[in-house]
Amino acid sequence: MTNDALDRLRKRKRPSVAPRDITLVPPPAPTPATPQPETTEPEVLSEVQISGNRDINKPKNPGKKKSGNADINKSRSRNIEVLENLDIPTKQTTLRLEKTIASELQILCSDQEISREVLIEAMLLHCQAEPEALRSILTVAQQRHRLRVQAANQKRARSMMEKFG
Amino acid sequence: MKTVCAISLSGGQGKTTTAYFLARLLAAAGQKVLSVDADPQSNLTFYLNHEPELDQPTLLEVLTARVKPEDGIYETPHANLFLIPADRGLFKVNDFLASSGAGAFILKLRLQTVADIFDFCIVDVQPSRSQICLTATGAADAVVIPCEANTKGTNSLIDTLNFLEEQQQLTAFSGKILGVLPFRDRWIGATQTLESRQNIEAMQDFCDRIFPSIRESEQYKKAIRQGNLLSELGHADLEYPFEKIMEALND
Repeated sequence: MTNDALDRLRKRKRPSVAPRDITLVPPPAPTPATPQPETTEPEVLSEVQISGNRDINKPKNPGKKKSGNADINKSRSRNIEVLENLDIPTKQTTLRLEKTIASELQILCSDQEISREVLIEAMLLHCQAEPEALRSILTVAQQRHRLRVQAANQKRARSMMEKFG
Repeated sequence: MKTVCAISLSGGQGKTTTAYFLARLLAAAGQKVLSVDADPQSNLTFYLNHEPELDQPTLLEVLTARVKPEDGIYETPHANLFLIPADRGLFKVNDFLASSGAGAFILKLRLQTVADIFDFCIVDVQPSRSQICLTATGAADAVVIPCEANTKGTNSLIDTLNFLEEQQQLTAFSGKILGVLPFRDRWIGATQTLESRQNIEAMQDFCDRIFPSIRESEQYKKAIRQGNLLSELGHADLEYPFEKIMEALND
């Protein structure tokens, strides 16, 4: 063929393709049901204050019962019913927490002689019964999630720069 | 179209230097040249002044047939010289080639569609026994083996020759070995160093044709960095090894 074919090559409109992932290790995809924040170096993050009392290792009224809330009592009853049935299906997962919070959680659970798991279950059931509490907690959780993703992206960028220059 | 591959199983043996100057000189001589960067390090692509965007076709998309081969061919700043570029994403083609059952023939197949447009195809091949290397070898009508004029280079030559022989026995390589191109041949003034001389002599035990060597010289790096030919920098004599390769291609 003559230059005409080369001219056609020069002028050819090329299609776009799916953007290539040129990383060696692709980032883990979040699970559909419960998106997990990426692993981070917590010391990079600035302190995020939970609204309300953050001094969770020293609850003000540890023994005091909440009164006058039918929904909470109902959820507590459900808890007790469930716990009375010893054949409880559970699912084991890894829990990765910011270091300081992990320590505080451990201290709280140790003081109260409960496990982290039942505490988390209780917290969720409470939130389901208290929409306002749920909204408040989700706002903080989403903020923390954004910071985790940002830290993870920075860590990945640092690794790539060290590897590829 | 004659497909010529610069193959050496060790890194740093002069493959990209060979592919770059051979493609440039052939194009400057009026030949229609397609250069193919078959190395995820993508140095040839960079030296030919091309930086593909992540959503533009490269050799990856050509090999995996996500685009037509013509869609992966780009102009370069040099007349008569075109390029199928690569980037780091090319390493992901290995799975496709391995699972295709005919990986050694995929590049050859893809190049067939543009074979009547070009006179030569010069391929810079990844330095490892990867699927990319296999498919480039399978496409080669001729192979040039650059290797350093030292022990590492001689070992690389032996390794590469064994590899080509294996591929030949599997009928995955049906080309010819054009010759060995010694690289970074060190001279001090008018005297070749003992290391270079002994290693080039050793290479002669393994291959009939040893091309004139690429001397250890900053001029090659300077020319590549500036996108020039050596003759454009006043060092036409340093192009002699490539001129001899071009003569051998016409034999």
